[in-house]
Amino acid sequence: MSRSGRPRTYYELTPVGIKEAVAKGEAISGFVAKEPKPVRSRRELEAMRRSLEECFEVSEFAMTIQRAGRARGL
Amino acid sequence: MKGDATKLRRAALRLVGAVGEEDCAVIGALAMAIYGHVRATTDVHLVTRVPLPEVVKRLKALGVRCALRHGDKIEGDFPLVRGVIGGVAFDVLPPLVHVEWDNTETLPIGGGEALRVVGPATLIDLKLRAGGPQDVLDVVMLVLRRPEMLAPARKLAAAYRLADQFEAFLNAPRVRAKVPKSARRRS
Repeated sequence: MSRSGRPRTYYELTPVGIKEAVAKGEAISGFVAKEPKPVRSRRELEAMRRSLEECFEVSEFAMTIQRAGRARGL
Repeated sequence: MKGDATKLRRAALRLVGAVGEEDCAVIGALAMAIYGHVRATTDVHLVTRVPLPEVVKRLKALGVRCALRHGDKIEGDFPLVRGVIGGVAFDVLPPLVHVEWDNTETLPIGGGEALRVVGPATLIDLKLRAGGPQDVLDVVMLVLRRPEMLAPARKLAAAYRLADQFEAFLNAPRVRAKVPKSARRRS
């Protein structure tokens, strides 16, 4: 099993296969290139910071109970 | 619990400092949280433009336990640096997809500290490139909050041959129920 869960795609070197591979390649490369840099308000930045803080907290709680479980051989 | 929360935060900041603040950005669950989807994680993920052998050198110079893993290229695996810092596991990935470094965001996180994070489109691209079930679910949770990204993300999922999984998560009532209506942006 590969590290990523994505099924592999192998294209045949035929005109149809090349066309499909190029179209998919363009969809992938064009996705991020269109990303504009957003201007964030102070309120938005504060919401982002709070979300991150919440993630730190729930993660640590998860790690704490994971450690406790391991300590009890679970 | 507050003290524990500092541990993960400290690990992320230490890792960023070791790899180079200007040369890496947060991805994975921490980035997902920054863009509104909070879930628990037990590790820190970064993307870097520093060559991975150099990342290993920088980390080892600071006494951080880590190793460069190559994976199976034929199976589509990608190389990464994996290790543990301050008791927290981490992965440092190369730019597997195009990363707009000028469009990364630096988020002040209090105490005079800041974390650099990739933009949401880059995050979606990286997640779909990785392609695991959790990655696809993360993308769906993100687009449910940001409907303007749904159409391009759907197209990208199809390009990565993940359309079925993407649509299944998107249409699952239990998944949709996890995003409160108040958290959904109007497109």
